[in-house]
Amino acid sequence: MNHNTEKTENIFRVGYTQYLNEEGRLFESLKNLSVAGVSSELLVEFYRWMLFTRTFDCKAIALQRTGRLGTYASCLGQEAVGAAIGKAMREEDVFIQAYRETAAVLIRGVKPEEILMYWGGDERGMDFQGPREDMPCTIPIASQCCHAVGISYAMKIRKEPRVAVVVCGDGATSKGDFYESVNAAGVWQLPLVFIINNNQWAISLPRDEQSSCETLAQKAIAGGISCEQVDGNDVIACYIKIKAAIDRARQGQGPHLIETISYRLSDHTTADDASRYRDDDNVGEAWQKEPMTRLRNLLLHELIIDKAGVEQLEKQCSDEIDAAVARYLAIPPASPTTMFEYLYETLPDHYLDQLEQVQKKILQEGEK
Amino acid sequence: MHIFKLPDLGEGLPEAEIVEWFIKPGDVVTADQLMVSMETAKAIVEIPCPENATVVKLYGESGDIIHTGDPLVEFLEEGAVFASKVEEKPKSAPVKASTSVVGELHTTEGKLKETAQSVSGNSIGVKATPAVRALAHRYHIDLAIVTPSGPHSTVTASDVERVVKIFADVGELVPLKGVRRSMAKAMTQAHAEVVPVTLHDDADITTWFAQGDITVRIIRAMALACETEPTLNAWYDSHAIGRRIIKPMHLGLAVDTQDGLFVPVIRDAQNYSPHEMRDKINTLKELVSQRKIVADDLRGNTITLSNFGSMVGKYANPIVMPPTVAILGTGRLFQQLGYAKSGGNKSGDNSGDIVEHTLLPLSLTFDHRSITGGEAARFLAVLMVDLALDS
Repeated sequence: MNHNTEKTENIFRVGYTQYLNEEGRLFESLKNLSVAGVSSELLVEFYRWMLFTRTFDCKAIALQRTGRLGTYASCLGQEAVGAAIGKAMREEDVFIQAYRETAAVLIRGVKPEEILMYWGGDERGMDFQGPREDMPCTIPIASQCCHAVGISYAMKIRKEPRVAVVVCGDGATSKGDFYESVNAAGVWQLPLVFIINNNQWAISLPRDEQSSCETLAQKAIAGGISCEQVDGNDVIACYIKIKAAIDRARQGQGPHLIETISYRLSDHTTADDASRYRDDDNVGEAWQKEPMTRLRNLLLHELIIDKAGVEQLEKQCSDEIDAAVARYLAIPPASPTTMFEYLYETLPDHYLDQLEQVQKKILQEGEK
Repeated sequence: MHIFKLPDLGEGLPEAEIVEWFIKPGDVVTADQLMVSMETAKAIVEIPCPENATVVKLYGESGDIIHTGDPLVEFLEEGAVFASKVEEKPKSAPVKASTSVVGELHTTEGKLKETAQSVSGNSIGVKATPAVRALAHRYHIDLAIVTPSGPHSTVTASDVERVVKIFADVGELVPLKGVRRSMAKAMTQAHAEVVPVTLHDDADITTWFAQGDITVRIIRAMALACETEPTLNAWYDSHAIGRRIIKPMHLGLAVDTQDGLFVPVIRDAQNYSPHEMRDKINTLKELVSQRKIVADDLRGNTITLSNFGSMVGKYANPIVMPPTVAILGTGRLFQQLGYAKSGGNKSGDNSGDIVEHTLLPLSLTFDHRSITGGEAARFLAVLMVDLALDS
């Protein structure tokens, strides 16, 4: 062989975006940001939602520890991803969550007490009174990706100018559901934005043991979907990139995948103890990069808000959450019949018999 | 006063060990202030104070094991009453929480009936899209009966519509009831289990048929055949793969009625005289026709006779009903030319004359799982010899 018979068919690249670094330094002027749709008011709003979410998170764990909530999955350290999604989506879009997007869910109008009801084992907490078409938490890993394909396909068939946004974790990207969904979204050019919230841990399995891919974003390339990485601790970068992807999807330019690089500062859930499988050093390093401090530093440095303003926000969030918790604790337990109420629009005949048995049982219990 | 009980700190944890207290009796504490750290089987967990209160008592020291649901701290409330989700739950008897639900999981003694069902009723395994299933449901069509024409044997909407059209032409499905329903089930079982073989032959009853009682004679011949070849008078157990050969002959006599087929049983049929047998048969037929036959008289036969010849039909393939292993069917008598038998000649030599014979067609079905062809043939041979006797 004296000549090379192989030619390059294609070359791929995966971009990485950061606007706001660990020290709270901005790589763009506030003015330019404002032009790009990120006003100072929006920055404060981001901060408030992230603060609200973190305060809520702490409270939820305290409720679990004192026997007033079931297992809870904290989103500590990942508030920026949720806040960016919540603000980037339009009301009419559909959000398909995993379970650590508390900030996004709250911004979309789900009440804090509804979230507490869900983790408290009350099915009524999944029946969001705000965003009626948004999906509840997805416990079976990656299955929500398939749901999102169906939802966005419906939008496309109906020719609606709407977009579905789905979030999964780094662990989910190893599952068939994820690959199949990416493939289907690419083939059908769906108005769907995938977000991989790569928080480095799938319960106890670290990112480097999850996949030998250099980035998780590049898994989209196999499905013919554009992709990129964003600093998941930088709410500004997350917002701009997610917003742009949603806008393109709405214009019919098809799906997109964003891998947000964050870190799970908490245990996997309240039933986990992460100190048994990861080093404190590792976590300490991650705390240096967490999203709230850098945003607060920016706001203070740029004189968008002062310390008193921050404290006032903290007080507001705390009071609102206390009120929500009081409402949650005052909700009477759901009737056992609720288990029949939400899965079917019309209950199939063969469940009517079971429903009657439960109703009879309740009556009997009541008489005792 | 309010007693804080140890909640389930993980998912179904039965207990936890006190690692360190951060409060002591007399302390005024605020909600969410760190109270105690506990070690469970899964983790070291820090428990915050549930409310603003004064600590009265601690139930245990470092190293003590506290069971889930047992007292941990006693508080004196500051104003408002501590509202525990756990205690707000319904009042039925508390049981240990075993899953990740809030507080306690309540169960009751009674068990609810539940059977596995598919959403689409009987059509388990049928491939059809939800829209097609909905269509079938609207028209009350069981998808299992629809022949699929779609790719990979999927039922399409037009398949359902085709069946709807056919049903519209033929009218409603009338469910079988009572005896007829029992027959349907019994026959399905027989068909699923038995390996039937039917032998056909004719018994020459020329000499006596005009004055004899044919049914009574057949029963007599069957009793004799059972004695000679008892393997046909038996019950077969398909689970145990074994058989019980039964000494007395409890004869099941198939009786046709408008309501369906009845098989009343004549116990110890071998012991009846011809007259007694005729009376018994008449009594049973009468009881059946009046629907007064009791259930006990319809059970326990060891072999069956179906004498359908009073109507039409020469031969049949009678169906063996488990657990019995044999059934004899007798058809319509017919005449046939043949050599005349020399009277009383036991050697069977013929006289040479051609005469008209009256023949009784026999159809013997046996279950080949427990009976060989040879056994059945011997049984039939005895039967034919006895039926050919003048009296």
